[in-house]
Amino acid sequence: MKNLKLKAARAASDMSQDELAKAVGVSRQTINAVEKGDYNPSINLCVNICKTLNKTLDELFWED
Amino acid sequence: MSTELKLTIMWLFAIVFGIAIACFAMKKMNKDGKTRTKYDERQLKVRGDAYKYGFFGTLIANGIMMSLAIGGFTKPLGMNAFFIPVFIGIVTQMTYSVFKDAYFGLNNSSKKYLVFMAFVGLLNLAMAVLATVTGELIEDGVLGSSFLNYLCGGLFVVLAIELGIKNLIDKKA
Repeated sequence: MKNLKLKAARAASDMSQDELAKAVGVSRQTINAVEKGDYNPSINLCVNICKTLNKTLDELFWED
Repeated sequence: MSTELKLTIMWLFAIVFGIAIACFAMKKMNKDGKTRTKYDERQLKVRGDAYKYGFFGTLIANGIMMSLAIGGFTKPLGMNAFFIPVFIGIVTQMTYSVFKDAYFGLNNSSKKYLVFMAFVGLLNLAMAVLATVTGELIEDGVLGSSFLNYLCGGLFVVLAIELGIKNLIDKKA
């Protein structure tokens, strides 16, 4: 399932996939895979993404 | 010391020397100057799957080679029959990694890697062509060890084609 909340949060922070990837220490393709729903990130990666985008886990990764 | 023992020692030395060159090259080609390539969690998972498929690819290819060897069909290949299943496994692992964006790591300089791989590929192909021209490729109706240079060079040609196709796919996406 696509993670549109992550994509929206990234866009709101004015960050490209590459910038977010570098900030959290993964490849751009991994961020792309997370946003497209092709990859389920580990809890550590989820937390790192949330810290970078200043969001909570619920806001980015909880299903509505 | 017998000729066979000398050849064995030379091959072992060549393998160790090759590993040393590879480590030195990786140190120079990685952005952080370290020998070890860093992968993120998704890439590690993909590479784990890639190695698994490569392993089974090698096993299957080995089984086929053994079946052919029993029938005497691999005699013209000589010692190269041992290496073909290994190359099939490597190509399997490489192809899966390339198309799942797990071939290059986080600290790899892909441009430097491509230059180095092009150099190694062309060097191997040049050596293979030289062996063919001088008649050293086939000895007494059996493919000599120079055939490995064709396999190595071919491996890098396949890699270059795959990276090119992946690049085209990514541009269209």
